[in-house]
Amino acid sequence: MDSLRAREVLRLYRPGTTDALDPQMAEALQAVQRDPELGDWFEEHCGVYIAIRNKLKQIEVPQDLKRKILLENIGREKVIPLHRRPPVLWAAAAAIALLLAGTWFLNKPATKPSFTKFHEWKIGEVQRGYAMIGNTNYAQIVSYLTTNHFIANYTLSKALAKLPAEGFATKPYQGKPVTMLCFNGGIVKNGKTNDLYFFVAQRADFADSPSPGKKPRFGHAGKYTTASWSAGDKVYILAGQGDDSDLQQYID
Amino acid sequence: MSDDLGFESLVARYYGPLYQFAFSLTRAEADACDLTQQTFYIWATKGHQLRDGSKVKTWLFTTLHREFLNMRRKVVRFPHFELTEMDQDLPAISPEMVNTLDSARVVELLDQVNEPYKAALALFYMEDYSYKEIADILEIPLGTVQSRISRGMAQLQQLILETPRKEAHG
Repeated sequence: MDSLRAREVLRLYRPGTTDALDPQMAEALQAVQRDPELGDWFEEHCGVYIAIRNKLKQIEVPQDLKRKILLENIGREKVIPLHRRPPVLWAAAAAIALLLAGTWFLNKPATKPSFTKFHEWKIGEVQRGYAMIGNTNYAQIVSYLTTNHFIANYTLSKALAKLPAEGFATKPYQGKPVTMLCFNGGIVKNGKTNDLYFFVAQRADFADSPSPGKKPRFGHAGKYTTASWSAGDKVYILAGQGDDSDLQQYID
Repeated sequence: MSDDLGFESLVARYYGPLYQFAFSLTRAEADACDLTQQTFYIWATKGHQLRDGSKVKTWLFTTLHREFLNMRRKVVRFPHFELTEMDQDLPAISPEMVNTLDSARVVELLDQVNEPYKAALALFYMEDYSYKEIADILEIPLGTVQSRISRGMAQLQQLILETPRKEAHG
């Protein structure tokens, strides 16, 4: 696909959505990697999309709207009255109640894993050499994650989205789903590549996840700097070589 | 997942996005509230007919859009727009230009976009629906969705481009 056609296709591209799964979009995204001029246009295009989206998402919802809807409609919902439900439903309900009670008794609510421990564990793994599936085709990675129901609805910063992909992993932590994407952050020292490890998990899965809206928390482990933050229902960790400002550029 | 279909949890989850969609179409708080309330009223009375629980969100957006069209039909007859015209190139605007505008101004500019493009454009920006889902909600073919978004986007960006000049000259 030439750059002109790619630009035409990417007019409808929305960063952070499943658009990248579309085969035409995926092909056009590859053209972005090859053509710096197209890359500049694409970056601006994504920036404009995000800016307009953010403005529209700021539309304020009247505070009492939810209450009004509930007041008007509670009780109006068409449900089958209990006394008219067939006996089989009563039996099923009783069985489900017994099953739930039994399940609760056997598996009393477990405490959530600690985000601090999760962070330490993952950075330890990065230092030891993180096992991942090598793949430089970002669109294919996203497609795989989505198709196989791994976490794929994360938000990438523009700077990170511009980097070439190196690979990914989907190893869970204490049964909680985790997606890791690895990006090529360029050459650092001695001709070695600075791999950036971007971890995404569900914020609610951890007991002490950072609060959304707060500035990223930086940490240091060996030659790696880490940043962790929350946005929406996700919690993120970014690890790479360099200092805090080197990492910050990939978060903004 | 049946508890997800409980009325209160449905309202809690979707009244915000539905109101924002309605407001982007009407730019009037009262109309947007009416449309949102009407949508949940229809759900309360007919929602039990929906068999596939995964389609609730799409159902609500489709219903709201239908109600919007009904409301508009009573007020104005849509002008006919020729959809076979050539796609124009996107006006060159930057994120910074958008960021100088407040949210209300962007909604106002969206309101100036030609009527047939507006709903598709609002869903394009505000929700993470696939193009197929947008087509289902608006009950139009996929290709039409894409051309409406493309043209609507060009119009909106042109309006954004012109805004500072208009304001600079009072």
